Amino acid sequence: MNKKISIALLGVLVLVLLGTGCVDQAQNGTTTPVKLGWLGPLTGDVSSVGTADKDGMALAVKEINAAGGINGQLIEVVYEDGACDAKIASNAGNKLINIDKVVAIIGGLCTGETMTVAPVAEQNKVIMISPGSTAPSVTNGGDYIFRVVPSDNFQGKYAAEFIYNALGKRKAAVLYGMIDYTEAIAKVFSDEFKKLGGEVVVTDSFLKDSRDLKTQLTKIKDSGADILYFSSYTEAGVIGLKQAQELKIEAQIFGIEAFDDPKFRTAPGSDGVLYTLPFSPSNDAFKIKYLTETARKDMPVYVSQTYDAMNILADVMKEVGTDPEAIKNALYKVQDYDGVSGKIGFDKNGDMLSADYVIMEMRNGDTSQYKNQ
Amino acid sequence: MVFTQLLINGLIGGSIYALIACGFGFIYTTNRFIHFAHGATVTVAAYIFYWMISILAWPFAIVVILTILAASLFGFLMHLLIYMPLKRRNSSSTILLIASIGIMIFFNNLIQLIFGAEVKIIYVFENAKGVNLFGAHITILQITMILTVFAILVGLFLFRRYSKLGKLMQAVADNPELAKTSGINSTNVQHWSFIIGSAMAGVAAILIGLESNIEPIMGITLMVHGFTAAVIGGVTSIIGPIFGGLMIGLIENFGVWFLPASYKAGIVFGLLLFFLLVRPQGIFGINKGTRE
Repeated sequence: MNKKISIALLGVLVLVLLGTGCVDQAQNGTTTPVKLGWLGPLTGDVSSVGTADKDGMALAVKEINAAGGINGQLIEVVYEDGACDAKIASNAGNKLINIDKVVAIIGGLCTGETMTVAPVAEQNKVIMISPGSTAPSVTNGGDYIFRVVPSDNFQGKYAAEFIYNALGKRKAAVLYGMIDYTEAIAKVFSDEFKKLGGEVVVTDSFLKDSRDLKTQLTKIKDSGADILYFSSYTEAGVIGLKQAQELKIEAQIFGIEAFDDPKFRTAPGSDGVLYTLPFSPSNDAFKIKYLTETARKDMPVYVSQTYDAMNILADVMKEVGTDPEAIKNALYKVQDYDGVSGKIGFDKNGDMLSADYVIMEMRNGDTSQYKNQ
Repeated sequence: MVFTQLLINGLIGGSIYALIACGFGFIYTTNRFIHFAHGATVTVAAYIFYWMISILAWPFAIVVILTILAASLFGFLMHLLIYMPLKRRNSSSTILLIASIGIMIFFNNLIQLIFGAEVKIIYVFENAKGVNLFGAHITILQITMILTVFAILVGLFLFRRYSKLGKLMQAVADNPELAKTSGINSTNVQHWSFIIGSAMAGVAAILIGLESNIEPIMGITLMVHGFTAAVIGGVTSIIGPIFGGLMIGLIENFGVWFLPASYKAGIVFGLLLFFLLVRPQGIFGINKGTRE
């Protein structure tokens, strides 16, 4: 009997230990602090980015607190590991929302983390601002869910406008891989291209593990399209470019940001292929500040977005206080925030109002910004 | 133009399927169990090819020979170390099938562990633009590919018909017990069928590596097509799998002419299901009482 109780107690102890994340306590001021959460991968594949972004968050909080916090209240952050994994992030998010009772969460970084916590946050009226989830699905995450990175949808629209206006092409063929990411971009492209007055003469797709796109490309060649919008990830994409060259496809090939993978540049048939790449202005002053403060050697992606997300949140809270609904309403009014990652404004879905892209061109195994834009 | 192009596309894809199906059929007839790990042989051979040609940068001809030998050795070792001990314990063909799936999964993961999950591209020849053939484009490599496959398949046919070992294989395939009682070392014959069948997987691996790109999951996808080709054509006959492979290649490509490409897998599996229900012995297979 005694043994059973001790085992049970041990179990409880383990649970308590597991449940307790690393709590970074800001200095205790005289007033109660504003409790915020941070969610991102601190372990696993994406942890190198996650830990760097955590430092970006800490930097922002340090500055805000040094300047007097939120109207005298200091910010206290609970950092939780989402491991870029929906299940782990779900536990972490639940802890932040139900146990730590945070006002807002900066995170998650991965789309899986954000989307698994979003329904709980929405239900409990906890603000979430993701600095790195780009999947289109985050758009419908909920009223309380925001992000400071552009949705992947933007590049479909950007590409359609560029192809129609700058390249002057009117007959497009669309070829996409059948996964959420590439399919969503292709769909946005088709819709936008038609809206502009262009014609989508053929649309075809390929399965995730397909490495033979010859038939689809034959159909595309036969369709007389003058542009091929090729929404693909690396595996099928490199072989697709090769097969397009073999079949002597004359239509201009236009890819997505995934084409920035160095494997594309060296692939046969990549010469002259264009693709969109998200543009973020390099903010050297911030980078230097970050590197000195954190003693890091480089600044990975989404650090500046994390920093911006925290600062936008602080600005809004200074204005309206810590009532979640008031914060939410005020966030939707943010239209033109001048952040270190560029201009930030939210639309009615909590998505970025606009996004900047550059057109890249592959040539002789290298890639550079397309000259004629 | 579209018609001839699709015909050629179908032949390119189909000849690879035929090669896989033929090697698989070769092993099946003398061993009588479904050797799914034939796909693992292709994957392993493809990565050995990649390793020797892209990382070690050995001369092409030597690499080709070594890859085929390695594939043969791999098949032989699989039979010797895994299937033989199971057979000695009188394991049913279901047990052997499960073992083969296990081998397949094991090697897929091992390859992934060593080389990573991402796709590998092999550069040996410069990618030439296709030559025009009746209004369709085909590259020299693709022509070579189709011719190589047909030469091998013809050679195999002659081997099975006229050579001594080929005849022994036929005898073991027909009735292993009778073959044994008439003094044929059927284990030896089974070893040889693994060696030759796996060599064909090695050739397929090289051709795929040159024509397309390689990745750890390639074996599974190929095996699904190869197995279907063997079933459709009739796994017990020699020309059956060849016919089945070409048929799948052509149907897949012509089907996608009218249907969205997402139906590609559906077409193949539909065909497999149809044949399993209506003509399980395949087009060229013979439904003899002695066969299981």
